[in-house]
Amino acid sequence: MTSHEKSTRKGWALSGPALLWTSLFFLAPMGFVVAVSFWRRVGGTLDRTLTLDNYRTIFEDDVFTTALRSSLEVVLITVVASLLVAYPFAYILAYRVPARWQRPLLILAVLPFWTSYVVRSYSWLLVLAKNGVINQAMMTSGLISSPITLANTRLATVIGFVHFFTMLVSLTIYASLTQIPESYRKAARDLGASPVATFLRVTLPLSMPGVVVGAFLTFVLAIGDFITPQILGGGNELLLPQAIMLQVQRRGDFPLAAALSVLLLVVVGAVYAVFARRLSLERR
Amino acid sequence: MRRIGTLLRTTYVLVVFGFIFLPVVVLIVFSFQDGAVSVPPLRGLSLRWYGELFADGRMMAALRNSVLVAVVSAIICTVLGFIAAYGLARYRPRGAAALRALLIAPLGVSYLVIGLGLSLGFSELGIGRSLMLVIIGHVVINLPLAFAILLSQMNEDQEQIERAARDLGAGEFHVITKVTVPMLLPGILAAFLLSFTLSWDEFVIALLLTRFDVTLPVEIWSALRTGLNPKTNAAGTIVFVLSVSLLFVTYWISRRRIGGQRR
Amino acid sequence: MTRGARLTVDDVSKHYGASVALDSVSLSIDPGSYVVILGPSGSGKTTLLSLLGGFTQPTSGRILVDDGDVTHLPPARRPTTTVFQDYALFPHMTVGQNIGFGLTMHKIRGDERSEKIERMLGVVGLPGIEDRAVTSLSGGQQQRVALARALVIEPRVLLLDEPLGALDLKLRRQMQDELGEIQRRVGTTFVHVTHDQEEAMSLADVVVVLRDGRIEDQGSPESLYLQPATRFSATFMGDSNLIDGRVVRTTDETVEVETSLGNLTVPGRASEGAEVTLAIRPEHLRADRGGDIVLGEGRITGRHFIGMHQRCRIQMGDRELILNAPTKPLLPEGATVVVTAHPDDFVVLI
Repeated sequence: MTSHEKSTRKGWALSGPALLWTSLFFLAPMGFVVAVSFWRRVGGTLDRTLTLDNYRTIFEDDVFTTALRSSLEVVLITVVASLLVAYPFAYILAYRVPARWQRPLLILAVLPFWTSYVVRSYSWLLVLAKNGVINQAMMTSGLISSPITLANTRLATVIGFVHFFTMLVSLTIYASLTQIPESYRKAARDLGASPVATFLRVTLPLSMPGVVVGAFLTFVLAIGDFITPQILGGGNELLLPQAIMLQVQRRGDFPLAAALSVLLLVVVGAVYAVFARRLSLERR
Repeated sequence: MRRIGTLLRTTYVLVVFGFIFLPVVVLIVFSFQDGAVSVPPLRGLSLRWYGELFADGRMMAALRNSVLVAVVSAIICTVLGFIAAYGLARYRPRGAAALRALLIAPLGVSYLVIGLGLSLGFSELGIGRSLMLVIIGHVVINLPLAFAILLSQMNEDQEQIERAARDLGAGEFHVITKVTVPMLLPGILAAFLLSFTLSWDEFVIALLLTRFDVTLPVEIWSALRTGLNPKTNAAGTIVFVLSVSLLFVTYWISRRRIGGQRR
Repeated sequence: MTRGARLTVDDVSKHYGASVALDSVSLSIDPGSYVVILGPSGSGKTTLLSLLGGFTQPTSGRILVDDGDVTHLPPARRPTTTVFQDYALFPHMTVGQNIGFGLTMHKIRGDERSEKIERMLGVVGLPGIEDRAVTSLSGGQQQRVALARALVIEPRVLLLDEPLGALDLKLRRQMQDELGEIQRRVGTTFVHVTHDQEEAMSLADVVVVLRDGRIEDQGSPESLYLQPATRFSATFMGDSNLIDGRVVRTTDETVEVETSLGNLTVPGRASEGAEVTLAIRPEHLRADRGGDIVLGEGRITGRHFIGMHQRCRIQMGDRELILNAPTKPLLPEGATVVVTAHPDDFVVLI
């Protein structure tokens, strides 16, 4: 046995427990979800003959195609809005704030990240509710005469998402911006570029890795999130994770829930495939 | 011109901070509400809801369950993550890239789908829902992070140090317990604390895998159904404060680590 | 190509809070000359370059290019460009796009732009690499592309910030020669900052020695080496033997200085009674009676064979002198020799 073979063996042996855990409790259940998605619920039991019925249901029933479309819309709006809010914020932090203030400010900016999903969404409900902070503030100041509906709308879901992902995307963009040597911007100005041209031709392209990573993370995490749309969006609009949960909790239709989960995995996988090249370039 | 620019930038930063902190501030402020509703107007400050929270048997049980689940799952994550990272970093086995990809894969999958898979799988095997299953699920989602953190902390300098220890006659067991682990302690603690925080905050998997004994986020979720009330704010505030304290410990440790490595 | 401009620095100071980076620096640089600003780190040389490039504003004083006051112009509107120490080539652009960047910013497009890029790549000796990624270039090639990018927009003054610092020794000497050639070809005024005195000597028409934010000395490499103005420049540029003493007698052209090596009469001016230092280069000392001034007898306590000469440490009473002698005859360690010199080779430092 060569020494490389020996170390290959040892390496795999040491990774064994983690690998076993991931296989047993991640790969196997995922495989099982895929399998169940091809079964059918008959009454209270599972019919294990393979069928495409669930997928047919998904693509024929308006409820599910709408849920998919809504999910994509909400998530894309979230990605764009988060980038628009976070980019200037990260830019100011990276280039206009004295170095010793940057880290403390950044840490402060991501603090609310560490409220749990449930608590964070619940807090937004307190802000957006009919008798919540915003409505009462606007009524007291005379801006509106009767409360407006903010909670239980798509807007509320997007606000909740943008809140969370602004923090995340600020981090990735800030990291990218601080990696650009100052001399690049100096050189651009020196060669005659205006501040706007310097930004568009040098800073922005060089910060794209942070933008891409942030956008990708936002997409993946937002499209799989159940809590924010459930608490803030309410029942008015069904997103994909809510549709899955509905099958699990109310209908008990696990095969359909499994098929919807597979759909979710496929969407994420497709987006990953699109981003993969840029994500791996980033790593280099 | 310059003044206006500075003014605009400062305003923008303040607005973003306002946006980021609005819900947290509202949450915390109204946890001290001296009244029955957690929305304005603030009727006075009182600790009454914290009192009620601590007197609430279900909430307290949920809190204990959450801590239990978080501690156990974080220990498992750290141990498994450490030995896997060690094997990968030190032995560079053939297929290391595939191994790494496999161990990190759960990061790309929604918690909801992971929870659903485990719930379907265990019920197929006739295993009932319990905190044990939540622990299993939380290890699945946090192992990739613990593994990645520990892997990133292992480098070739340490390998030389371990070689020196072996050269001085230490056996493999002593190398790991007396050299490797102490050397990597900050990374190990960071992995543990991050796993702990994320586990103790996690909701969907806990919801899908528990029935009677639930964790704190699940209990808060059910409390939500009865409407907004300051007791939920108090619970949320406690979750937040504990998470942030842990975060600071993690940050402090990792900063010490990075500082130590650079010089 | 455009002709280089005259560059005038008029009583410029730069303060950072309480610390003074530059203290009343005045400098006049002839059009089309190659000026090297030489100084140890912390001497203010990078601050000076940054002020010339417009990246920093002086606390007081003026900077003129020909007769135009550029003190308060931003970098983009100055007739200067800078070659940065790390080159600052844009990694997301090709070689051609990098060089063309400044042209585009100056609204030069189409054929004119590509011709200029092509010509400039020829000037720096890298023809035909427009489409290469800058990340695929070697250090020396990146250096040339950075030079081309700065020169292509035809600045009147080119500023170079330790341009050879990132290269290994051999490449540095080679690029050093090429830089000089390129400067002569394009005729632009070059202002080059370095801490490497060999680089300074071999490139410069004029060397400006900076120390603690002040100009210590300036002049051609020859005059700086042979007639240093201060102790600092006498020792910073190569070795010098420094002999302290007191002036005991003066004539119109000579001074007689009382030193531990006896009274030495050398050309120079100083007032009677003044404390002065005599500097003499090691290669100007002789280990034989060939010089007109006899410094005395000494014992060779150490000897290194350098190649072009042998470098000896000679103990003369309570002090030591460094002497570079020709390689023949070999001087044995421990031998006693008579050390002499020509009066003209001494420099009187006040």
